[in-house]
Amino acid sequence: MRYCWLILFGLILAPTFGIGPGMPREESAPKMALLAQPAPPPKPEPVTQPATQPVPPSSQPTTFPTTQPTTRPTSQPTSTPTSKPTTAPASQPTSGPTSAPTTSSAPASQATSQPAKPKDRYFAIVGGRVHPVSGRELTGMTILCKNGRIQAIGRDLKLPDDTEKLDASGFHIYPGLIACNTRGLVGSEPPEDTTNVFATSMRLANAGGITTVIVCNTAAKVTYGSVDGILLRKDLFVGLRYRSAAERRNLRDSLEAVRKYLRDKEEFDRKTADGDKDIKEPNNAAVTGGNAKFLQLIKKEKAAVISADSRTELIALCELVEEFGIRMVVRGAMEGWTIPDRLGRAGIEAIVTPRRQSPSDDELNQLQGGNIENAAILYNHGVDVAVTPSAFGISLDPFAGRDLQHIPMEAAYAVRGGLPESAAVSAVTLTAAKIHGISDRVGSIEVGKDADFIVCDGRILEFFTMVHWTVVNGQIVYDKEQESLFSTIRPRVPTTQPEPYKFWPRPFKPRKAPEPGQGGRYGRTGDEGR
Amino acid sequence: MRVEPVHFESKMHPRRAMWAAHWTAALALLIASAQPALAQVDDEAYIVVKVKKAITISGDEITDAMIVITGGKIEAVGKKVDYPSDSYVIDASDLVAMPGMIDPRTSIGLPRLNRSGNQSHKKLTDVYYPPDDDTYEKLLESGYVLLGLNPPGGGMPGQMLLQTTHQPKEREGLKDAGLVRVVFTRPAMDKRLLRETLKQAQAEIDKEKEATSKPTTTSAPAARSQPTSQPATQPTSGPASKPAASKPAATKPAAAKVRPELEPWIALLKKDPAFAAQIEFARASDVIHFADVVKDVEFNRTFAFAGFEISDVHNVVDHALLGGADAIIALPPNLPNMPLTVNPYNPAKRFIEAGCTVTLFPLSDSVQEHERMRERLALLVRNGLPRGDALKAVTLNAAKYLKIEKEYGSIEKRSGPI
Repeated sequence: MRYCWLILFGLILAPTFGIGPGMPREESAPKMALLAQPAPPPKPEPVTQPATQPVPPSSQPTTFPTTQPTTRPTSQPTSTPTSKPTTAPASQPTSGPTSAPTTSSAPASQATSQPAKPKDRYFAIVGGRVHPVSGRELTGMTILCKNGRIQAIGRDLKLPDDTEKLDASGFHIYPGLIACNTRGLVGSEPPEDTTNVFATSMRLANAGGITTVIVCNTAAKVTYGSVDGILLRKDLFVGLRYRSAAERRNLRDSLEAVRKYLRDKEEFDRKTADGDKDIKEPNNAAVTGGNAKFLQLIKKEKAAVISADSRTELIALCELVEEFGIRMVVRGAMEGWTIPDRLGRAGIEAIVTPRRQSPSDDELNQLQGGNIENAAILYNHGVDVAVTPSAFGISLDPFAGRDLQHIPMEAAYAVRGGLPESAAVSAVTLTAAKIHGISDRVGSIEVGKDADFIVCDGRILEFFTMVHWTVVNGQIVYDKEQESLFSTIRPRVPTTQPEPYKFWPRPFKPRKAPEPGQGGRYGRTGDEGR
Repeated sequence: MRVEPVHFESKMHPRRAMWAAHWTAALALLIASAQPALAQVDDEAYIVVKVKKAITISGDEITDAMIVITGGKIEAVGKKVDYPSDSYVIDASDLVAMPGMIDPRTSIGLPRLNRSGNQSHKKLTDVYYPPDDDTYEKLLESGYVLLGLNPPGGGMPGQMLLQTTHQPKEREGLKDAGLVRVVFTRPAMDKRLLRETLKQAQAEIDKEKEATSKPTTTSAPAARSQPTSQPATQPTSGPASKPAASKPAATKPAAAKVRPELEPWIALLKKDPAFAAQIEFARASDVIHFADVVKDVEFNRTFAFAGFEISDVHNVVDHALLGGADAIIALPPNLPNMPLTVNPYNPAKRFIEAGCTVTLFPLSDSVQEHERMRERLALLVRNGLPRGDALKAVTLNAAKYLKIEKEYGSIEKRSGPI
C-alpha cells in the first residue's frame, strides 16, 4: 500500500529513461516484437495494420475508443517505445514468435554499426490521418524519421529493423505547435544552459502540443528531460520600438543613415572601379557595431518585430515599411482589421490574439477596438497571420484556456471569427514558423524537416481534442496515458465501465481504496462521476 | 518527544523507533566522550564497553557485545573478547551502541564567505575559528562526532574541512579533505565556469606533457636546424645560442606557473585518489546540465542535492551519471510531496533502490536541525526506508562521502584514530 505512489510514478516516468524500476520490461518486449515486425525481403508485408486502411471521414467519427481495431494490443501504452536511443528497443525481443527474423538480422546490423559513427535512430508513425499543413490531408501513410528529421512519407515504406514505431491508427497527426513569444516554458537565452528540463511547465507545454517556442530572440524546442537539440535558432529578428516621438525619430534616422551609406558606398565602388583615386571611402559608422542590425533590416536579412495595437501606430508602421522596404512583424495588431488593406499592401506580418477585447471609444469617429474577425479580415487581405494566446506562459490558474496550453482554442476563436480552418491550423504551425524564419526546420510535415509531431484523438481545433503523444526531434516526449494530470480524461484504453445510473440522485457508494496500478494518481476507476 | 499525526505503516512501533534512536545516540555519545578522557589518562589504557547490542554497520548486529578500545581506536568487537584485567569497564549492558553520526555537509560555525568563481585552492583552515558557545557540545549530545565543513558561497568556493565535535578547539582535530566543492545550482553561470575550468586545467596538463616530451623530440631538430639556418658567418653564435635554445625548455615549468585555483582540478583530471569534486545540485535538471558539460571528462566526484526542491529527483534516479554503486549522493532527510500531489515522496529510498550510496545531512546548519536528525531518520524509516540503510546513511556512507571510511563510520577493528 505504501508503495503505490512509487509504483505509479515509476510507471509514469519509466519511458523517459528507458529503464525504470516500475517498468514491466518483460511484458513490453514481446509487445514490441508485435509492433516491430521487420519487412522481410521475399514477401513485403504492409507495415500498416489491416484496420488502419483509409477510412472515409464520414464513417469514422473523431472520437476513437470505440472505433479502435480489436487487433491492436490493448495494453499498447505500456509498450510505447522508450525514447532513449541507448535502450535500442528493437534489439530486445530475442524470444517469441518473431525471434527468427530478428536474430538473423541483428548481428548483421550490429556489425555494420560497429564503426565509430553513432547508430542511426529511426522512428516511424504508422497509420492515422496526417495533416501536413503544407498540403492536403493524407491517410494510410507511414512517416519515417531518421535522427530527428523526417526521411520519408509514404505507403508501405520498408522500415529498418530497429525502427521505433508509434501506431497512430485512428488518430490525427499534426506538426508540433509553435508558441510565439513565451516566457518560462524553457529558460531564457541561451536555452540550452538555463532550462529546467524537468519543469512542470515544460511537460504541460508538451501536453498542449507545443514543440517549438520563441523565447526572447531565440527559437527553442520543448525537449523534456534533455538539452540535446533544444536550440533551434538564435537571433531570429531585430526587436524595435516605434512608439514615442524620440523612438520614431531615432529609428528613421538610423535607417536613413544606412541608406545613405549604401548609396555612398555604391558611388565609391563605381568611381574606384573607374580609376578615381581622390574619392574618400564613406564612414561606415552607420552599419557597424550596434548599427549593424539596421543594415540587416535594410538588406531584408532579418525581420523587425514591433508590438503595436492601435490604428495610428499601425499606420505609422505601414509608412515606415513603405518608405524603407523592411520586413516587419507586428505583435498584437488588435486594430489591424480597421486598415487591413494597408497592412496587406505593406507586406506586414501579424501575430494576433483573436480573443483580445477592447471596447471602442465613442468619442472617436473611426473604426476602433478589438474584433473577433481581426484574424479573418487580415487573412483575407493577404496578411500572414499567426495566432497566440494572450498569456506568455502556462498556468494552472482557475481561468483555464487562456494560456499557452490552449493554443488550438485560440486558433478556434479565429475560425469563429471567419478564418478558414486550414488557415487557423497554419496560424499556429507553418505561418508562425514562416514569420519567425524557422519554416525550413519546423511548421509542417515534410521530408527534410524536423520530426516534431503531435498525435491527437481528433481535429486539433475541436475543443475536446486532446494530444495523446508529442514527438520532438523524433523522440516521444509526452504520452497522455502516462501523465497523471491527463491520463484519466477519456483514456486511450477503454476500461470496463459499469452502466451509467438511470436515475437521480445517485445512490451512495463508498469510495474504494485506491489500488496500485488502477486508474490515475488518486486510484480512480473511472466510475466516480456516475 | 512525541511526533504527532503521521500515519504510515511501519514494522516498528513509532514510539519504539524513537526509543531506539535515543538509546543509540546516547551510547554514541558515551563512546565519543570517553575518548578525551582516555587521552588524558593513558594512551595505552584499555576501555571495555559492554552493551546489549552493537550496531556495527559494516557487519551484522552483535547482541551482548563487548567493544575494546585502546589508544582512541577500537581494538576488538565481539560477543566474547579477551581484554586486560586492569581495563576500565563501562557496563552499559542495557544500551545499544552504534558508530557516532557524521554530518557530511554543513557550514555550522563558519563565517559568511561571499566567494564566487573558481577558488578551489582555498582551504577552510585559515578562516575557521571554533565557536565559543556550546554548539559543539550540543552536537555531541545529539550524536554527531564529526562534521564535514563546507565553504559557503557560489561557484567553486573551496575545499572541505573535517572537524571532530569532541575537541573543537584543538587544531589537530582539523583535517583538510581533498573535496572540492562545486555549486551547480545555477546552470547558466555554473556551466560556463565548469567548462572554462576544465578547459584551462586540460590545457595545463597538455602543456606539462609537451614540456616533458620536449627534450626528446623538439630539441633535437632545433639543434639540427641551427647549422643550416645560420651558415658559417658566425661560428661563435652556435654555442651561444644553444644554451639559449635549451634554456626555455628548462625554465618552462617555472615560467608556466600553474594558477593555484587550477591545481586541484589538474589533480582531479589526473584522477588523483586524494581529490574528489563534490557537485552540488538544486534540482534534477541540474544533473542533465552537468552531464552536458562532462560528456567526455572523467574525474572523481560525489553528488549532493541541496535545498528543498528535491521533489523531482526521481527524474534522474536512473541517470547514467548517478546510477550505479560508484555514485555517492548526499540528500537532505526531508519528505517532499510529489509534484502536484499530496503523496509524500522518499528520495533517499529511490536512490538506494537505484543502487546508489546515499548519505543524509541535516536540513539546515542549525543545532536544532542536528538534534532533530534522528527524528527525521525515523520518519524516513516509517516511510519505507530500510532501517539499516538509514543508519548507514548517517555513519558509514557519510564517511565514504568524506573519504574517511577506513577510520570512521563503523564499529570494527580500526587502524586510524577515532
